[in-house]
Amino acid sequence: MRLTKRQLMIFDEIFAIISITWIIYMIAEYLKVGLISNYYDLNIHFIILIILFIFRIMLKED
Amino acid sequence: MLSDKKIKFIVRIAGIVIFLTILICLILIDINLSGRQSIYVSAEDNNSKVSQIFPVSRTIVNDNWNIIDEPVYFTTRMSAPYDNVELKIKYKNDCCQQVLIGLQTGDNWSYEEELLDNKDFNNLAWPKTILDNLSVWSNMEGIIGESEIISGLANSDKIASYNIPSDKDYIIEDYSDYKAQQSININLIGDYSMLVYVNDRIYLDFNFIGDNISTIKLYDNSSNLIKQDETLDSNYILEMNNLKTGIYKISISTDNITSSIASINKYINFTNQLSLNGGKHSLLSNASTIRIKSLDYSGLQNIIYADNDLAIDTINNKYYLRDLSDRTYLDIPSGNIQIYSDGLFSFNDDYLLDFIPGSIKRITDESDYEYLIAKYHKPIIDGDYSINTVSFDLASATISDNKLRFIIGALGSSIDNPFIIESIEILYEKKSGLSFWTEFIDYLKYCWRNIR
Repeated sequence: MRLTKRQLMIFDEIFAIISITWIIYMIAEYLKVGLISNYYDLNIHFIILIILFIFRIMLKED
Repeated sequence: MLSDKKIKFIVRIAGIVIFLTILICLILIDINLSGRQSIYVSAEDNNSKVSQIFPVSRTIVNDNWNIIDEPVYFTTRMSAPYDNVELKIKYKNDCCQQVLIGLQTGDNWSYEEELLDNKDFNNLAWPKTILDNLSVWSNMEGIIGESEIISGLANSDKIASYNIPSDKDYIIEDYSDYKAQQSININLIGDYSMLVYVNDRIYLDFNFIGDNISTIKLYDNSSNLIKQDETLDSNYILEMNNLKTGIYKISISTDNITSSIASINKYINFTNQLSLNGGKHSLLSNASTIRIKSLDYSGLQNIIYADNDLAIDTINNKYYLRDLSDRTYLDIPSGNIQIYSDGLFSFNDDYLLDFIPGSIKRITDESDYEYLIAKYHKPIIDGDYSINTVSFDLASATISDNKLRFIIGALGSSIDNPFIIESIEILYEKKSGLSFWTEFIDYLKYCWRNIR
């Protein structure tokens, strides 16, 4: 699949933000067990990250 | 058309704002500004904030939790600091004279216990009033009003109480110590505790068999440790004079056998669990339920109690004596068993304490008390089930990993006759009137304590 340079940049930005968020949430969860996991599924967050990563590999610049 | 740089900036800000908002919302839910948090859990309807009841070997889970042995435990997660926790439990009790719920307090395995269900109290037909969250029953003719009860309480010496500190001294009328030491053969293995009625002087001469250390602790009637000793000798004398009259508790930790105790104190009553060494034992108990277990073949025997007999024919099987009267004689021909009860044991027929002040467990319409005060309310009946509430102050609770730990003591529960819990509702409450920032700082402190 081909995207423009600008579209790829936006995709990378979103990917980076989701990755950093996952790390922050993991730290928050580690520091206080149950803060995130009771209301928000960190596993699903991580699965989304993997899917986006695989998707990113398949993307090419137009 | 926006430049690449501007688009990058907008995407970054939007992303950070979204995820930080989620984080802040989660923290606000955790802090819970309403000051009350309620969690409902049942065997079918799990909740990540409440553990299952464990150990699993003592519980059968179907639509309900069926508790087949005791004690069992569960933990609950407390997301922010609260001041009080209330447990509303829907249960079915066909097995146990009384059921206790405890909250872990202090550093050790100690629990602050509250009554969930007590059949004697439930069946008591005396007039009742609620006074400062306590139930007060009166056995006095003509006394039914609150003011009459208050004035009656102040003047009465015949007050039985459960789970509330008694400010009245426990005095046995016409009591005097033995003039010379009397020896009782107890023949117990390992640890045990006993209550001794002391009138000025305590004198107990223990005889141990074995080479292990014995630790002896003496507590006064307010549960303060007043003496502690360790000995390797086969003989130890615990002697103190000028003591305030009342019930004193002595706990012995040892791997030795205690063969006998010689004493001038008449009332020497044993609590909770006793491991009887081989040989004949005669015991008197005021327990409503007694559990008996043989650990090896030498403990298999016929135990005679209240004109009945109980055949102990399988090792490690738990046998129960239920619905016992307040005076039950046990004749144990060959010993080598473990016995556990919800009352007291005495090796001397004449000297069994009627009740422990502040912790009476049994009372009937025939009881010789004028008042009964208990931190207990009769359960609400809902079909086959009962609903009752117990509450605990969290000031002294042990909080580990943001969790509270509870114990359920249902002596008498067995696989044929389990104690059934349908649901547990947990209500955390905070003191009202705190500002947001106070609550937020308390929350951070609470989190910090957990991290450390």
